[in-house]
Amino acid sequence: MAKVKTTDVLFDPVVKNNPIALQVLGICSALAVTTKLDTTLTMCVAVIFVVAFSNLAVSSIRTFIPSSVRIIVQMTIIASLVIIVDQFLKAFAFEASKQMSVFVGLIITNCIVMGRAEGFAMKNPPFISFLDGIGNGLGYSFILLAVGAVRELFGSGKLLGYTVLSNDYYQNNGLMLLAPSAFFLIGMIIWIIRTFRPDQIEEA
Amino acid sequence: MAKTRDTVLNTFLTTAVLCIVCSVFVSASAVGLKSRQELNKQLDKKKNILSVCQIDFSNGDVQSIYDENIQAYLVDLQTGFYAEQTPDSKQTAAKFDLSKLADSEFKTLTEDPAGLGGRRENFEVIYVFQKGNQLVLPIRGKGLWSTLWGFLSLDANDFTTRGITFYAHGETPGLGGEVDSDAFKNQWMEENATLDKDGKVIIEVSKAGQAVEGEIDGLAGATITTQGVDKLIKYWLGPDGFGPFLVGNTKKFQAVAKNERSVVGLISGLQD
Repeated sequence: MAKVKTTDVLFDPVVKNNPIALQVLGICSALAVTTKLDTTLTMCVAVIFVVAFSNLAVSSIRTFIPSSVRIIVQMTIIASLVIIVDQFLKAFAFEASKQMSVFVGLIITNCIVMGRAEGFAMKNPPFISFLDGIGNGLGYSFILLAVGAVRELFGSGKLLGYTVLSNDYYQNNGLMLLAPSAFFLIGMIIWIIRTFRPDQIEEA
Repeated sequence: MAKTRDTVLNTFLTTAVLCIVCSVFVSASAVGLKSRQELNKQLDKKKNILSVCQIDFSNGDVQSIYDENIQAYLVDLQTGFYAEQTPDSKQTAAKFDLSKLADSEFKTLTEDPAGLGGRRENFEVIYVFQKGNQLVLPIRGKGLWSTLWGFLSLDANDFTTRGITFYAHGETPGLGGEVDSDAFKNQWMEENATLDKDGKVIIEVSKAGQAVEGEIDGLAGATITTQGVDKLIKYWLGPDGFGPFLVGNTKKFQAVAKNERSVVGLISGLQD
């Protein structure tokens, strides 16, 4: 197997091989938690933690996992991590966890986590898998934060709860608070990335 | 290597070990963080009580603002009188936990319009905001998918509505979930009459767009949730809920002689 470079593993998924923009994974939560930037931030931290540690755990025991039950083994590890994250959020970030409600639990079904466990951690050693997890988490976060910033700014005229566009001269755009706007924004981000990186364009 | 790892025995062994390890982590985090989570839940409940009284707590310590403004009292729903503690589970207003009430402290319901699961507790805690002359009643009932938990604030003199909040529910976001939207909650601040002079419940939550003067306009696209709110409000204000407490204890309605130990005795003291 070709040797993978540490920095590539960590930073490639941010733009070059972004899990949302190129692989179009993890869209569901990108629509749901991006109306406000502070919930988006919490979600990003939670996802980075889960991907990184699920990759680490799966990779550490990859030689013991029987191939017939490997998906279930990955699911068990991911689900356990998500429950732990959920418990921590309820204890230390109660408001945010209340706003995100079911979407914390739904990290379990986030395709990125599963995809990295099966696609990368099963074949690579623990440390590099851990970095791959952080990298992909960052890639996910990059898109989420971009979408979240635009939606909160134009949807409620605020950033992180602080008023930026005052209602005196700015009429809030309600569409930005609804799920379709995230679709438009993600579509535009993909468009921009692929304009600068034409190699990402799929053949029609 | 690959051979031994794929045997049936090894598959069972690996999964068993994995399950045990994972469950240790999960239970450790659940048990270890429980006290903190409970504290958060209590604080959230207090925030809801403050917000239903329109007390601003945005710059300040929620706990101290709560302690300063709100008193909690235990009420015997059957008699409508104040109680020091519950007879069997020995709970007081300060540390009341519905899930820790003894079975003997519940009443079996033959009719259950609010969807409480066939039984209703004989004791509940009500909250009094003296400065604002408001009474806060805990309410709950079935919506479409879930039980809605909330607080209803009433004027202590004439029992008109002063506010409502739902702090826990699992209704559809955007439809029934709008019960905790400002648009819906603001209607409850408009001092709608809840009881007539005989103590009969007269408040109505009507179908969206069909409310007349004095009624609460329901949620569009959420008929069942709206009906649920209507039923639970009527239930908790009615004879099976806080009715005996409200009707029996006010000077205004005078239906039952004023009891020295009643909570509204305390509130009417503040009206004098």
